[in-house]
Formats: sequence, structure tokens, C-alpha cells
Amino acid sequence: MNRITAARARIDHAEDLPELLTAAFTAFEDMLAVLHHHLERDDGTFAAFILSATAAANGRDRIAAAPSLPPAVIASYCARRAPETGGLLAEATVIQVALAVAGLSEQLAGSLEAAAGAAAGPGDRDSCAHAARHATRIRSLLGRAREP
Amino acid sequence: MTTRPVFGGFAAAASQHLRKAAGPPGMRATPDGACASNADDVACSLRRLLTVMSRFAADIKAASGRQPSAGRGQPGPWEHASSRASETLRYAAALLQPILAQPRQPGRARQPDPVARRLDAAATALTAGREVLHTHLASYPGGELRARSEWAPVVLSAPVTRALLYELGTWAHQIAPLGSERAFARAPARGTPDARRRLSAACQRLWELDLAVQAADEHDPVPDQDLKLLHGIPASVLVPRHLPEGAEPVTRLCQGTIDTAERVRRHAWAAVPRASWSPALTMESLRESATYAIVISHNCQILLSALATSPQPRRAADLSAPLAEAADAAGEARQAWLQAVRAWHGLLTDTGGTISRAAKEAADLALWTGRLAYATPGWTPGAGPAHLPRPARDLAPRPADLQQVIAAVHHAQDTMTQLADTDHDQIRTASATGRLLMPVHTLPESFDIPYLYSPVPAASAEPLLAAYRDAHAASAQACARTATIAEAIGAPSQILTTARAATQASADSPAAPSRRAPEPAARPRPAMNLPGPVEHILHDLGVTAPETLQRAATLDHATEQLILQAAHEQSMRDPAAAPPDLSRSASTAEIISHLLASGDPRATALLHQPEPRPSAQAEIEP
Repeated sequence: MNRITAARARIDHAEDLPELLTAAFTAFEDMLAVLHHHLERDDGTFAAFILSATAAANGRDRIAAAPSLPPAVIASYCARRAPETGGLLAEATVIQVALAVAGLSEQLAGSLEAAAGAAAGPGDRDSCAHAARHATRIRSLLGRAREP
Repeated sequence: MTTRPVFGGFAAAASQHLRKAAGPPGMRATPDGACASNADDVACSLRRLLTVMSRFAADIKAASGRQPSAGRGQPGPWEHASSRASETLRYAAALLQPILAQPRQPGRARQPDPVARRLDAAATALTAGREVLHTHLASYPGGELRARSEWAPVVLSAPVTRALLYELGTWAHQIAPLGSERAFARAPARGTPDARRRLSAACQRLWELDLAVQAADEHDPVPDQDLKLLHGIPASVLVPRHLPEGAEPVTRLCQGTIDTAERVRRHAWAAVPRASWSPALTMESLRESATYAIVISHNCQILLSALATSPQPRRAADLSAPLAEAADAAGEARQAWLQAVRAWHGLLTDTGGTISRAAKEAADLALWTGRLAYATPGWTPGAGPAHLPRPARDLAPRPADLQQVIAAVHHAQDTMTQLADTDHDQIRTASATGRLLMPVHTLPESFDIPYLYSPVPAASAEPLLAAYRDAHAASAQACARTATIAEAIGAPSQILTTARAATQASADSPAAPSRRAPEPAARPRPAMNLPGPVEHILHDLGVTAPETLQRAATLDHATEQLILQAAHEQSMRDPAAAPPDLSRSASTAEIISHLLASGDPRATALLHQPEPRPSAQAEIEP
């Protein structure tokens, strides 16, 4: 299972806000890793990939500011010495990568928008809403990728 | 490059009015009235012109006070010239002041004097030119000038203020003979004796200013590039934000890139002083700006690569290698910006969610450069893979097109360089004011920590700041490569190079030798071949024989040399004695003016130095 598929499964299985926030944080991180891995493969997708990567980083950091995110997630993230290199869709074409990440971002945007509407705390609502916007941006950047 | 008003447009208009006021070359006062302007009218108009010029001189003095060398050691020739300019212009304007107060004769409608009208037009042009420079500055009580745009450091730089002082000398050189001729015109002389005497004295001060500037320029010449920079300073008016629609030709795309690049620079510059409190200083903004810098650098790389690989048979010089090197440098800038984006890992700002104007404008610049770089008319960053770069034959089929494309790339790269600088400064301020945060992750989960984040210690902010410094260095290097090409092909963006050099020279030292080369083309101002008093009388008598006029000129010269020698001997006998006011008599005033016009700097020693007068008289609106 690649990282994008795994991230989608975690979002699907999140049962409460802390779990969703944890899944969202990791999903943004996974998108970031995949996008950076494929960044230089095609001049035509370079701009979309780097802008999507920045949106993923911004989304991740918005989730990191959510009060209901378990602190262990941040601690684990900061303690990590080097990014994991597995599951980066190494065999996929850039179109497949773009569409896979776009699919994950669409799912993530939907879940975070729902969470923003349901969260009790203003900090969580704000974080989820902003992170959802970043996910939506990724979808708009990558969702139109088609084979030439 | 731009359709906005530039200082040079108004300066050139003023010079043209002054040339027309002087009449065709060689025309001198003659008995048939060729120079029979009304001295009162000319004096009134000249006072308006001198008032504007004295304001320029005050600006130069205020700017010089901000420059690093101010107050250190002995004043140099330009500092001396600046000081002389302030004094002479203020005094000259004050000399003409009472004439303005004299009412014109009632019931006598007459045509405005043509020379006076030209002087008025020159004053208007110079007022507008000064306004162009002042759109970049805010004046505070006491004459303090503060920056209002990213051009302000250029306007206040030593090279530009010297160039402005040089221009003041040029205008003085144009005006002085014009006024002197009216002051000493004989039949049919018009104007009151008092007006003519004051006009003569005011013009002597202009000769003095001209000589002071010429002396400074001989000692430390103003490079032509600095004059071009002064003339190229645009009004601080941004072109309104606009986006490409999809059908623009390359020319429009280049202009859109240049306009938007300037908007990015302006908004990035304006954000720096607000960094300690602005809600727009967010991690998202800074990261997005850096990301768009990556995309812009990438687009520049594609453009330069396309130009490098094209055959371009009509080029005067083979630019393939410089273009390829510039493309590589753009690629390195892209990589440096990528590191800056990555350096945000684990850092946050205390506010979030807002995207700054600079970041939004950078997004626009990415779009403009992308439309230029790719063949697809509707290109966007999300357009997908396999978009072909625009071929060089479409980009630059003619040499003039190459100039435009290079100018657009140059502007974009200059903007990236400035952006790295301004964002670095914002981050440094954010760090110093506790606005840059990092996670408190070292404590065990069981601890009851009130906050997830704490302000970043200075040492932890250093890698991020270092990454921005690297991005600045790489962007500057890429910009320098393109600047070299811009210079080689005469692209209009060359002013950027001069502007950056001017501010850098001012930051280091106003006399930084590295930017003094190459030496300017010689610009000697020709000595004015005005008739002396004896020659003037012969003209009045209608004498035209060259030999006779030459004898008169020789007599005039001998008279002047005798006066100079006598004055010198007098000053040797009593160095503390001030020279008497020789210009009180019309006959001696004419000799002194003629001496000054000949360009002999010793003549200024004959000028009576006035007692300080209230400067308020020169502040009346022209």
C-alpha cells in the first residue's frame, strides 16, 4: 500500500476529532513527501507540484495549531531525523501521482470542512477550516492534470 | 519600459524651454531688439525658476545629510558644490524678490514677454520633475525626508543627488547668460534699472553655482549612467493590478511581467516596517512568496534556456553562452528558494490564515512569467504536464523583441532578489519580537503545558534566515547574469542595475571606486562666448568687422585680467578683507558677469558675499 492510499484509509477510519486531526496531519505530510519526490520529473508539472507541496505544508501546520491534536503527533514529527522514503508512488507517472494526491486532498478537504462545522472549540474550527482550504487548493492545482 | 512619467521627461522639457528662451545659437543682444525682453518680466519669471531650483538644492542638502559620509572629515568637492548651490540659489531668488512686489502699470495690457514665458514654462517643468522625485519621499518638518517607496533609497543616494546637482549646474549655465544679456542689453533697453541690476546680480550667482559644480565634476566626474538613472526615475505610481487574459502577444506579456514585478517589489518593501505587528505576516504568506519565487525562477530558467538554444542569426553578438549561463544561474536561484521553503520546517508565526499583498502579487508574477515561458496561451500553474516552452522564434523574432524579453526576465529576477531581502528582514523582526514560534515538543506528554508553541530562540531562527540569505545571493547572481545580457543588448531594464549599484554605493561609501568606472564621456560645458563691455558697445554701434570685434574682445580680456590680478594682489595683502561689491555699478557688473561667463573660477573671488538673509523670501510659490 502506498502512502496516499494509506492516508485515505486513516481518514476514513478516524472516529473522533483528535483521530481526524492526526490523520489529516499525517496525510498532509504524506502528500508533501510524494510531491517533493516527483517534483523534478516534468517541467510542466513543476509549478503545480511545488505550489501543492506548499499548500500541504501550510495545511499540516494549520492542523498542528489545533488544540485537539494530540501533542505526541507534533513531538514525533519534530523528533524525526529524516523523512521516510517508502510508498512514494515511485512507479507511477506524474499524471497518476497528481491525480492520486488530488483525490486524497479532495477527501481531506471534505472531512476537514465537516469537522470545522462540528468542532466545539474555536481553535479547532479555525484550524480545520483553514486546513480544508489548503486541501482544496491542492485539489484545484492537481485535479486537472491529464495526459497530453 | 514604462509609460509613467519619469524625471528625465520634465528635466528635458525644462532644458528645451531654456534653449528656446536663449534663441538660436549665436544670437546675441543687438540694437534691433533681438534681446530686448523686458527685464522686469524676465526677472519675475527667473525668480520663480530660481525658487524651484533652490528647492532642489535644499533636497540635495537634506539627502546628503543622510548619506554615510555626512559629518565625517572635510567636505569633498560635491559637498562644497551642494553648499554653494543652496546659498547662491537662495540669495539669487531673494535678490529678485522685490521686483515681484512691484505692481504692473494699470490699464496697460501687453503681450507677455516670450523669454519670461519660456522661463515660466521651465519652472513649471522643473516643479513637475521635483514632484516626480517627491512621490517617493515624505517631507517632515525640519526638512527630514523619509522613504515612501522602494525607489527612495535611489533618489536619496549619493550618485543620484550628485547627478541632480550636476543638472542644477547645467540649468544655471543655460540661464545665466540669458539673464545677463537682458540685464546689459542696450537700445532698446526695457525694464527698470533696478530690475536690470538685480537680474545681473542674480545671474552672477548662477555663474558661481555653475563654476562650483564644474569644479566638483572635474574632480570627481558624474558618470553618464548616474545621469541616466536620475532621468529614468519614474513617478511612484503603480500600474493597477491586472492579469493576463490569454491572447496577449509577447510584448504585452513582457510589459505585464514588468508592471507586476514592480508591484511585488513595492508591497514587499512596504511590509518590512510592519513586520512587528502586521497580521499579514504569516508563515503561509512567507512560504507562499518563497514558493512563487521558485516558480518564477523556474519560468525565467525556461525563458533563458529557450533563448540560448535558438539560432538567432540577426544577433550582433553571440549570446548563446551568456544566456545558457544565465539559465543555469536561474536554476540555482530556484534551488536556493526551494531550500528556503524547506527551512520553514517546524516553524510557525503567531498569526495565520492571511495571505499578504506581496504573496498575492508574487502569484500574479508567476502567472505572467509562465504565460511568457510556455506556448500554451492559457497556461496556469495547475495546467498539468508536458506544456511546451514557447519557442525562441516566437519569443524574440527581432532584436527589439529580445530586449523586451530580457527586460522582463531581468525585472522578475531583480524582484526575487529584493523579495529575499525583504522577507529575510521580516523574519528577523518576527524572531526578535517573539512572533516566530516553534513547537514545545521536548516535554513529556504528561506535563501540563499551557501552549503548544513558544517563541523561537535566536539560534533556532538562524537556519531559516541563512536560507533566505542564500536565496538572496543566488537570486542576485542570476539577476547579475541577466543584467550583463541586458547591458550587451541595450535592454531598457539596465536602469535596475544602475539603481542597485547607486544604493549599494551609498550604503558602502558615496565615493566607492568600484562603480566609478568606466569614466564618463567628457562633458565640458563650453565657456560662453558673450561679448564683453567694449565688444558690446561696438555691437551697439553696428560694427560687424571681425578684426574690429576681435580687438574689442582682446581689450575686454585685458581689462578682466587686470582686475583679476589687482584683486589677487589685494587679497594677498589683506587675506581677511572681503571683496567689495563690484556689481553695484552697471559697468563693473558687466565686466564681472563676462568674467564669470568665461568660466574662469578666479572670478568668483570678485563676488561680494552677502550677509545671511532670511530664507523665507525664497519660499514663495513660483
